Amino acid sequence: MALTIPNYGWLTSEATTTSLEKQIQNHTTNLICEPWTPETKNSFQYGLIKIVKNYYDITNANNDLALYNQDIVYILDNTAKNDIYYGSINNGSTTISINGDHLFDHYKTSTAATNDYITLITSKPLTKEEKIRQQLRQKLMPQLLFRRFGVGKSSKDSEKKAREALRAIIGDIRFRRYLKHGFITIKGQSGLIYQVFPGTTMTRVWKEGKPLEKLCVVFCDSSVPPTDSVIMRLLMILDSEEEFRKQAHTFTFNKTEARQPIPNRIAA
Amino acid sequence: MTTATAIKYDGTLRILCPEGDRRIVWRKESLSEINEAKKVFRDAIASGHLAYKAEPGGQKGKKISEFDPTAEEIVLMPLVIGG
Repeated sequence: MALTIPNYGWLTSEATTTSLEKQIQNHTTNLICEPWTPETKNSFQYGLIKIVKNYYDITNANNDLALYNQDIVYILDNTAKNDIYYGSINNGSTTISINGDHLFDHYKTSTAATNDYITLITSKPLTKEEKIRQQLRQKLMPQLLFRRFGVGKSSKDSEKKAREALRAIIGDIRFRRYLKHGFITIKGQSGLIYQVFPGTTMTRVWKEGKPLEKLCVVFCDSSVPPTDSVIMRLLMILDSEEEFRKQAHTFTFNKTEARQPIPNRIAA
Repeated sequence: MTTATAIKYDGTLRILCPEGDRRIVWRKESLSEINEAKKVFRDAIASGHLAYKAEPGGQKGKKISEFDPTAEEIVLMPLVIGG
């Protein structure tokens, strides 16, 4: 049975989302949600963060729901009002940062990371000394949250065609993740995880959660749309990791890339 | 009221190119469609393209040098280099 829910995704309001959760429980299949509208997002007046386990994800790609088995945190940015940040978070953590920028000091939750809404308590403006201390502290601790850049909309017909081709090859669920995160992950037969980005961005290789190397393979013809590069790398890796490696120029991770979260959390 | 009937194709040949991709489709029972796809495949291979057979879901991919009419997805891609 298909159920259409107009104009809201996860972060509409506590009341409507609770209602949505009930509907999800009742209709776990074929639930359809319309894309998020800018009006809905702008209606937010305060920061709201939701930490869920086994969350249903609603995106604009397909207007349907998928179940993901990972913890995720969504934060609405009060200042921009047009940006949603999301990323994984450790249970029991009390500081949230995005790209190294301090966002909130404390949040309250009755139970950590279990379908709980948390109203954020914004911190007082920091003094210069506190800012320096905080920056030092952030450099010493692993980054908990980061902003993932999706691939964004494309007005070019060639790129649209390339994305349709990728969607046909990898399937709807992985394609939706690609739109959202901006990369796909491939687990090779060797156990290595390849994080493949569109265009000329190098493929990152991870071994047992640790950064191994970056591989650069590109089309001779630079006018091929970026997403076609993803198809190319995907098929080459699936066919033979060795051949892909032979073809590639190898580079090492830089410090920033090595600190980023491990992609096997969202590996297919 | 007219009803559109969708034709179900068995195989797709995708040629990655600057225009996105060019698609050739065929049905297993149509020899002419298979021959057309085979001709395009051979021309592309002769011009240096690489061919891969992809399985649905993107879980498997295999390099091929001969056209396989039983494949669901064949991708032809231009030459690649180490960047």
